Amino acid sequence: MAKPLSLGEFEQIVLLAILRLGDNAYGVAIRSEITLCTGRQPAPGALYTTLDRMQEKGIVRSWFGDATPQRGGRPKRFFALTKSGHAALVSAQQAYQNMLRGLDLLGEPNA
Amino acid sequence: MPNASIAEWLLRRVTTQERAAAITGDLIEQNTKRASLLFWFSVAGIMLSLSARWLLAFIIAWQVGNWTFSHFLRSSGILGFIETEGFSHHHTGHLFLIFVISLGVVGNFLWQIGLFLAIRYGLRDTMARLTMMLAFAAICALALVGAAVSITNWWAKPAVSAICIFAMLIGAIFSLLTAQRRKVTQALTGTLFVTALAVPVCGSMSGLLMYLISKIPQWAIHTPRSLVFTSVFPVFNMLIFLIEISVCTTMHDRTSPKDTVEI
Repeated sequence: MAKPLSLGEFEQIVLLAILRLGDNAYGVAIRSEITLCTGRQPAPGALYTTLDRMQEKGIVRSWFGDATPQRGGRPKRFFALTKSGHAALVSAQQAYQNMLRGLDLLGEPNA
Repeated sequence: MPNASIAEWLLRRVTTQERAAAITGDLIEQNTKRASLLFWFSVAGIMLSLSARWLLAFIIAWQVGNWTFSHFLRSSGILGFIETEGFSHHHTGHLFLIFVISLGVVGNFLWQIGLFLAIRYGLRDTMARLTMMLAFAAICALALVGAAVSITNWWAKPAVSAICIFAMLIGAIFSLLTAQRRKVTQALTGTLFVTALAVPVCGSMSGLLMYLISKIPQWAIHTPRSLVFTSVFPVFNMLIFLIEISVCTTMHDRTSPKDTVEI
């Protein structure tokens, strides 16, 4: 079986935001979700660069929605995780969980 | 509302048409109640982010690639060999000289493209790996030529040619083994073909420009004519490199695996 791709911290945050948003994961929504959950407002440039890079690596895929008048007649670009992207995220989160085990970091001991 | 069409046109310089439209749509959606200055700051930030890696790769491949390769050619004795063979009356083999010069030119192109692709797309990229592998093969072959001509005093030339051709055959077989590699090899061959066409075209253009400059009276040019001539060459050299990299990027994007293509 192929080794899952390694992910950076921001990549994991973006992927988790995409998962949380489900079918509505596009640029503005992803940025808002990250701000809401982490309190950090990512720069638009950093977000689009990360999304493009992850698409090049085959971690996410994207497609275009219909054009809407609120967006000046421009379409939304939606994102979703690919199989390998999902595997990479699970692997990265598993690694965090393993590192947390036995530590009293979040107020209660992690069994 | 800020002029979104200009923003979209600007973004199209650094990304695809569809992506530029989607990004502009996002910016309009986010900035409807905000000042237009913020909108333009966002556009500038996105343009910088999306082109930063391309720019970095371009500068490093252009400067470091040229510098390292020319120093390698000098230290390995290849340049000395070309100068001795090319300008002496005692030619020891025209064919071998042409072979070494061609290998040097192709090796230089491969080394620059390889550096660019490795920085722009990462070392995991198939095209970057294949290009780097071929560049190293050319470098090894040139080092072998350098060693052979300086140690054995030319007599090993047929053996060196045979080893180089054998190494190239191995590389060719390796690059045709899988469908993805075949696609990448096609892209790389296309890049080298266009670059090979660009060299005589740009060379002729620079020759024509130098001819025209030579016809201008000295009193009309404030700087010495020799200085003007020396500055023409790097400009056309950079033009060739720009063509090479543009073709390489376009060809690379066509080799992207299907699961990453927008649907």
